[in-house]
Amino acid sequence: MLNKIIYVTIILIFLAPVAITPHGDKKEVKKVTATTIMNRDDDHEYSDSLKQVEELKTMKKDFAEIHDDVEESTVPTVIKALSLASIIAGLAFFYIPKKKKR
Amino acid sequence: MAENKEQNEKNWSLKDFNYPVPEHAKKFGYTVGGVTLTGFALLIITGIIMAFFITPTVNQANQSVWELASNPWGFWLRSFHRWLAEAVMFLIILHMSRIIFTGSYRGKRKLNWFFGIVLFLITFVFFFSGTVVKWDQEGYEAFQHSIEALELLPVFGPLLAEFVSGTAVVMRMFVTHTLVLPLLLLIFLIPHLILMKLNGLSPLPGKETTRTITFSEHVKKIFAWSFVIYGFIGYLAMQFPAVLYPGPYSGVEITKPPWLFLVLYQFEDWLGLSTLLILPLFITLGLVLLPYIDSKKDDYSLIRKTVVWGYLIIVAIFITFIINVAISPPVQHLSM
Repeated sequence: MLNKIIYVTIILIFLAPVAITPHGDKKEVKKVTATTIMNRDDDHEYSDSLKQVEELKTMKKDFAEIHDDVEESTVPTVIKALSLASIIAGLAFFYIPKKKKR
Repeated sequence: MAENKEQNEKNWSLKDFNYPVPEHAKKFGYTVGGVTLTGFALLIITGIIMAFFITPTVNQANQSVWELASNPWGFWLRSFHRWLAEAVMFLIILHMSRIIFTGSYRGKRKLNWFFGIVLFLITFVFFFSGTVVKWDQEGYEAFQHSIEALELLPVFGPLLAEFVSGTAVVMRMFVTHTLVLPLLLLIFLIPHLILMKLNGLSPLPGKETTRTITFSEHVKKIFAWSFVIYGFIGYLAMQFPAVLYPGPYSGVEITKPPWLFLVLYQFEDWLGLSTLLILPLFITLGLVLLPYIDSKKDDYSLIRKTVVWGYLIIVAIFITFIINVAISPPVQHLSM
């Protein structure tokens, strides 16, 4: 009986927070650093938030630049060749006929 | 006694592990568990290599990942690790689906089903912590979701949230991802494998299997599928690299989580952050109760058919949610 009470209590604790959802309307864009993460509720001096939002929008551009640099090296060719070799080796297991045991 | 002595003095060779297994062990559905295991092995290898290059601090983690990605080999390695993680999550779901379709959680296999559920949950946390460790916008938003969801829990919630966050957050996530979770995985994986050996391979529903193949043939099939699947993943990782964002900003939510979490994202849109706690709890509870609801040995009972159809309907609904969220713009959920 005690066990059942404990189980039900644990489940109720987990179910308790239904419905409360923080939807913040007044958000401020801040760079996350070791200092800001220590003071999550404090105000910080970040006036140029629009500029930072623009920066966020161009995030994928930086990554694309690295991707382009990588594409220029020989590594992608080697990786793709090895990957295809692995696929062919795997398929060979299925399709190369085996000697039947007597 | 004499038999024991004979066993002790026996020179074990690989041939002794080549015991017979049912013929259906070579079917794809019965090799998925093994393919997942090889996926984990590859994740550990790529993870160890990457760990040499990551500096797990708030100010340096993201920069160190960018430095790794600026090297062509590191670029592929990081992308491969991420793609592998997604593939392993997918394969685990496929493995669980096969077990549900064949009712392999019934009878003596019930305990092993529970070990499997724990392994599934560990993998889920693995994926989450890995997303946070790179400490980019995606990782930060994922972390903030978990913190704000934890804070909703009474008593221990805020305390736990306080412990997890703070300046050491990336280090804590890194230790969780590279030390705690692999250890937990090992602790639950070993009995999972031992029980599988003791119980034997589950039978095909409604069929008596008399024909056998050797265990080595089963392993060969696992490796063959692994070569094909992970070869394909390796190719994808180069062709469609996993995106990396710069260091995070609070106050904006511009990313969406990986595909598996999109189901939670949909519910979060409707019901709020608390669903991040409640939905996984309900899914886990449902999986735990499955062997108790569907316990009859009859493969064609009404309950069996209801479970299979019910599971298929839930999967279809979840896929619809994933597609819906994937094509919708990101939504603000947090109060940060």
